[in-house]
Amino acid sequence: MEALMAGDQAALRPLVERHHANLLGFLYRMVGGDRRLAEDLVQDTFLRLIRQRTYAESRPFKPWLYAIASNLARDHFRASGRHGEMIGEDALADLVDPRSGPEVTALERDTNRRVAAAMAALGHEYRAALILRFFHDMSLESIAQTLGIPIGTVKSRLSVGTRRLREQLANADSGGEG
Amino acid sequence: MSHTHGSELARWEDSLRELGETEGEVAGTLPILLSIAAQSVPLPARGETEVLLTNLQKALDSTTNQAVRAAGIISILASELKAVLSVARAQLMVFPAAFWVASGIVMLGGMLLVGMGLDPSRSLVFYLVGPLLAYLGMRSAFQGTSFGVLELELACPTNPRQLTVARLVVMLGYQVLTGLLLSAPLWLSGSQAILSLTSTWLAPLLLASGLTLVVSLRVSMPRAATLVYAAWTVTVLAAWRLRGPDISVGIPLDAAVAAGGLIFIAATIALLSPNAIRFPHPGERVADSTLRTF
Repeated sequence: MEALMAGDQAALRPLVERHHANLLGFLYRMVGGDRRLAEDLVQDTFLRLIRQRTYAESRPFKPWLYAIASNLARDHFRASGRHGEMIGEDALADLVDPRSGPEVTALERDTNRRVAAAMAALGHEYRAALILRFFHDMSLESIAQTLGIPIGTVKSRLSVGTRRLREQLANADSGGEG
Repeated sequence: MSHTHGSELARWEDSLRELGETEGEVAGTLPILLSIAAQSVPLPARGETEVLLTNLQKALDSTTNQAVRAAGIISILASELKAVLSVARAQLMVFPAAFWVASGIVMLGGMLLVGMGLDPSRSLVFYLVGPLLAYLGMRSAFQGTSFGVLELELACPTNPRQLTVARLVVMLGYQVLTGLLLSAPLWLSGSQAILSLTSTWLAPLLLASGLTLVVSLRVSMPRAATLVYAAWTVTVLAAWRLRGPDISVGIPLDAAVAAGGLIFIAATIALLSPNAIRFPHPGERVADSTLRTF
């Protein structure tokens, strides 16, 4: 990043190649499975990264990159008036692994859909903390830097986030059984 | 993403315990995490990364060009300013001692009168002080006796505009700074008259300077300065005769007068080229004029 800011355009390629896939995965989960939107946000994230001139060398790069991505995802939903819980059925269906094939039972598919819906229903801040912690292997400190909050708040969001997921799925199960 | 390794499960368990979750809560959460992990997450194809890189490269080129342009403009402005200040410093010797002393005395006299309680907006003398300073300044800054601002062309054939700006910086800078410094005690004492005083001398000073410069494009500088100062004096005296001491035009009009002066100055500098300068005698060559005048 320092090389890029110094005007070394060749530094762009390794930066993008290293982070493109993970960033797309993060944003894909953040926006509830809308691939096109996730790709747009990936590009916006890198554009923001290129155009801003405030990156401090002392700051860890990855949390800074994901902070931009997370903020863009949040701003997108704010601007469009949508929230995670408004994500459509089509997007939720996309979240189910198509490679699963016939060997995956209908019950598993249904479980995946309900988990995806529960994730989508979480607030942006809880969803971001959970995704970064469990699916991007980020430390609590890095998540705190990414989201701009204290470590204690990160723990709290993870704790509340996982509890809400359990509760929502339990409610769905009981509702389904009833 | 659909295949979760044992090591990942162990990491999740550790993470959940780190949050203070009970064994039961951990056991309830792990299937949820496994389910999320099983959901498909797209991986960008090689071509998609290339498209992204192409788009980013265009943005980077544009950003770099903007940064280079901005740096270039700043550099040019800085070097222009440096050059003007350097020329202004060299031009200090053009101004005779009488200019520095007379300007200071005129300004000091005005401040003393205000300090004694005179209302600048109702006193004739203040309407004549600013243009008087302009008269003294222009006569001192542009001393060619026959050529008006052509003297600049002769003295500095490469850049008469820069020379004009430098001399104006010295002349107006000295007079404005002197005026403001001498006004400082009045500002500090909270005098209400100080704003009126400043606008009363500064606006006519700028207007007279601008007009003198414009007129000197066609006539010699001494003649231009005299003409403008005489015209201003006649105007003020006529206004005084018609309306008495109540000839104050007010600060908004003073601001308009000052702006007019600055526009005249800018216009003259823009017009300052050999084609715009009138030779004392049509058809006469510059070299001949130079020899005879200097």
